Amino acid sequence: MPALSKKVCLLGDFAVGKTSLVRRFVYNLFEDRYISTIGVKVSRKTVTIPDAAGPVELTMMLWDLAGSEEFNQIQASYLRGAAGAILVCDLTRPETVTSLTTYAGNLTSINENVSLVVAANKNDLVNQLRVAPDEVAAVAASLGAPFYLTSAKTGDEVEAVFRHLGRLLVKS
Amino acid sequence: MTHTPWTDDQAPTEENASPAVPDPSVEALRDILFHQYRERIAELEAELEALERRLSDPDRLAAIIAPSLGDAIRRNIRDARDEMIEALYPIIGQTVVRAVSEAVRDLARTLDARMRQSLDFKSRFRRLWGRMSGLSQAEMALRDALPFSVLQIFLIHRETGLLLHHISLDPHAQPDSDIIGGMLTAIRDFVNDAFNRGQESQLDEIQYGDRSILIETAQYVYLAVVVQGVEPSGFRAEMRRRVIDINHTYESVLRQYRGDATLLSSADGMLRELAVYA
Repeated sequence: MPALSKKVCLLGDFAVGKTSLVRRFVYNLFEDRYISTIGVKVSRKTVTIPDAAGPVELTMMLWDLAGSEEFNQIQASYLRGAAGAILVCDLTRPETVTSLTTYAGNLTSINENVSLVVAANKNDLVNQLRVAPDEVAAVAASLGAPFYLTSAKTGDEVEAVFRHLGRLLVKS
Repeated sequence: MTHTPWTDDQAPTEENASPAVPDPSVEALRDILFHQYRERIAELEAELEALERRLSDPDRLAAIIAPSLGDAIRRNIRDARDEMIEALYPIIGQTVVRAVSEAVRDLARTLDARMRQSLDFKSRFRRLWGRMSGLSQAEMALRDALPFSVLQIFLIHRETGLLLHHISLDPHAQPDSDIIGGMLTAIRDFVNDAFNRGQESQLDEIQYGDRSILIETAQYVYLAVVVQGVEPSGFRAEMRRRVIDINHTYESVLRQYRGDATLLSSADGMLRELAVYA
């Protein structure tokens, strides 16, 4: 089976659940504290992607970037060379959805042909949801990206996000 | 009024001067007036003589000034530590260098002597090799005494941080070389962004304990070599040569790298030679 590796960034505001998504479904070697020290932690997610020429083993090297302002200047170099990104927002905080456009803009200004998937997270917090799926769909459509309503807590749709991005990366 | 000078026979001479007759009353007065001063002068002369004797004796002088000198040095070290270090550095630095050089020479002599005594095949071969390469036995022995080994080699795509090739000679090495390669790239990026704005220089070494990560960068790739011990001279240049060779050989693959590391698998030979450089 052919094997490919791609760099993938996780982007989104502080506390939207990027690290939780990674922690749940991704192979971790290093502790999360690296994110607060140098602004990033690298993990690995390997998926098998069906392709016309046969299945491909895709290794996504996931760069989980700090969502705080203090690392903004350094983030630019962390974004370099990314083939794809998972844009993460929090369904209980509307402002985290609108800021996805900024993250996508920062990324595409450095890497033109980057594949994007939106993960609208914390879908399990039913009583606190303040963003309708239609609003997420509108933002995702403006970015040309598919979107998923995910829950890092229950694991709902998390695997689907990685698989979808994997398919886009293999095709690109 | 006119003054008539003396004629020669009228001038006073020792012979015709009237003899000084001590006046007892004047002498008594003088004693009364100067007695205490004469005594004080005699005391001072005695003290001065004693002081001269002490100063001319180095042991006694050292005993006198040592307490004060010790206090002064302690106070200066406490109040002006940096100035003291700067002042003493030329002396201490030279002393340390001399001591280390001497220790290394001693080590070399010891090892040389042992090698001369040794008759096994390995030693003979080493001696022959040393003669051929122009190295003394001591230098060869020193080289052995300062061991160097390559533990791991990472070839990493500079832009993406993706691992292109990995060689491990360390049985305790982490198997997750791709994640380590990614984090290493993140650290490089972090250092360059945080401390090196607007400059072209790169992070070229990370040290931890007795190990180091030596880094050499080319246009599309960089080479990170984990080593233990003291790198031999020329090792860096060899690293640089190889990373540039790889960069040129695989330039078309690396320029638009799509994530297929098998296209660089033939770089293994170029890197493995580096692993046995020591």
